[in-house]
Amino acid sequence: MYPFLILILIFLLSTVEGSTGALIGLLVPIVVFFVLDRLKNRKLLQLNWIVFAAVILLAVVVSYTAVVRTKRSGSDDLSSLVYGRTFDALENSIRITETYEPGEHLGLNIIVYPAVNFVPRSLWPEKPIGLGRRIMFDIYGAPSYTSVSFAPGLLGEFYADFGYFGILVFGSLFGLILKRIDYGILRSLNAGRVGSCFLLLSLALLSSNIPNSPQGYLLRLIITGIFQIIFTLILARIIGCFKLTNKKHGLGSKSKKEKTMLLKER
Amino acid sequence: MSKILRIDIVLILAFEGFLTSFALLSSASMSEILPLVIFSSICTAATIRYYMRRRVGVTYFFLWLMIVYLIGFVRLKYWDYFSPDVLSANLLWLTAFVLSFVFFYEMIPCHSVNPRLERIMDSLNEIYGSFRFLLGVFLVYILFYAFEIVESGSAVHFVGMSYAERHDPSSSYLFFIKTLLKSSLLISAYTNFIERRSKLVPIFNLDSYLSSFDR
Repeated sequence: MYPFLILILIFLLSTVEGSTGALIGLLVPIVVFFVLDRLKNRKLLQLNWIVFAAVILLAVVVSYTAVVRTKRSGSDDLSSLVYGRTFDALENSIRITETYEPGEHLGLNIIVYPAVNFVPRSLWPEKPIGLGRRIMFDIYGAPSYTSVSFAPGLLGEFYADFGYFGILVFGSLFGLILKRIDYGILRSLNAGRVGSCFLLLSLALLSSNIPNSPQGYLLRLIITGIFQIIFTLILARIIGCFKLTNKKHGLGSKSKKEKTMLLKER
Repeated sequence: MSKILRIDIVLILAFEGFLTSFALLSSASMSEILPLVIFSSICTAATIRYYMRRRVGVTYFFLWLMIVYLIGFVRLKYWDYFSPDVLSANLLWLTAFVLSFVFFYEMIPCHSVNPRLERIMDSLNEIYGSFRFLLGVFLVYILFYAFEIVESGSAVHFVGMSYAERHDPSSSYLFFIKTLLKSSLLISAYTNFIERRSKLVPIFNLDSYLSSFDR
């Protein structure tokens, strides 16, 4: 019951915080996991209360986020969701192609910025800024203290870093990365590894946000994945629940079999 | 099963058809209609193909790509910021991106299993499934919130903080760590929940009752 209570608490805290994207990101993985599981076992009609509750909550959360977003834009009209800045990636991409030369930033946004993102700016005041924020100054003339970023879009980012050639190259690279993640999800699901399945699911869902993310760089997917794994391993060592036992003594395989059996039973 | 899949696909087609019609109704010139139709046809075909093959990442990616760019197109037509030629050129570049993506997704084999990566996945699975890890991360998460509340002055002020106040660029690394922490907590909570739910929360599992519908 504790995991369920913790999930409810995360949900409440995200609501209080007004983290609209996080609320959706919180519910979607569980729906996807169960749909995948049902599709795998060819039992899609077997409704599950968790999925049912998650779908109902998603409807509530999406309505809530729509209202919050509309209010934030200073409008009372729901149509401002479409005509406001929510879906401005295409506009920003076009403005980027009109403002910068092809390949002018030469990898600064896709490679350098994500790699150094974790360094505190207080330690490195000259740390590069992301393209989402740079366009605020270069294109929209925002004051230097602004904390807002706009989505540069896939086209804008690849164009600014490597020109039109970059759009094709990074399209292929992105395809490769997503393929590895998708196969990883299926392998984890077939092996009954729920934890690694959820990790890869969260990365796969993160990739779907990239076209409209203010920090929409491709490498964010890789960097977040790598940092997430390192962070989890370090934290597990500190907490003391992970001693590499499965690697040295073959322990853990029993629990893995048990988990596989449990999932098969379901 | 086939009936169920058809319902799913009809839903996907209806959703993507609605988005495409929405965009087509906004466009006035033939130079925009052709790139729009090509882009949405490729995206719809890819979504259905990868949905059928249970490829989560790529299915979500294409669904989201269509939402963002087709509504983005409608928005630009409404404001009339750019000429039809500029819009159609960008839609064609987007189509080129999608084709390049799909080509490499299909062509590059991905059946080999990296033993080191598998070991890491096994270890991560063990960690996320550990109840001790869940409680440990939860404690750190709560401490993080307590720190933020103390730093903001009071709990009331913390709740009422605006977006700009919460996302102070000078402390973006804290936001980054918090994202990783929250993600770890969420994955661990889901893992523990699913692995234990059939024993501890039987009321949530109605599979046995509803299995008659599947026959």
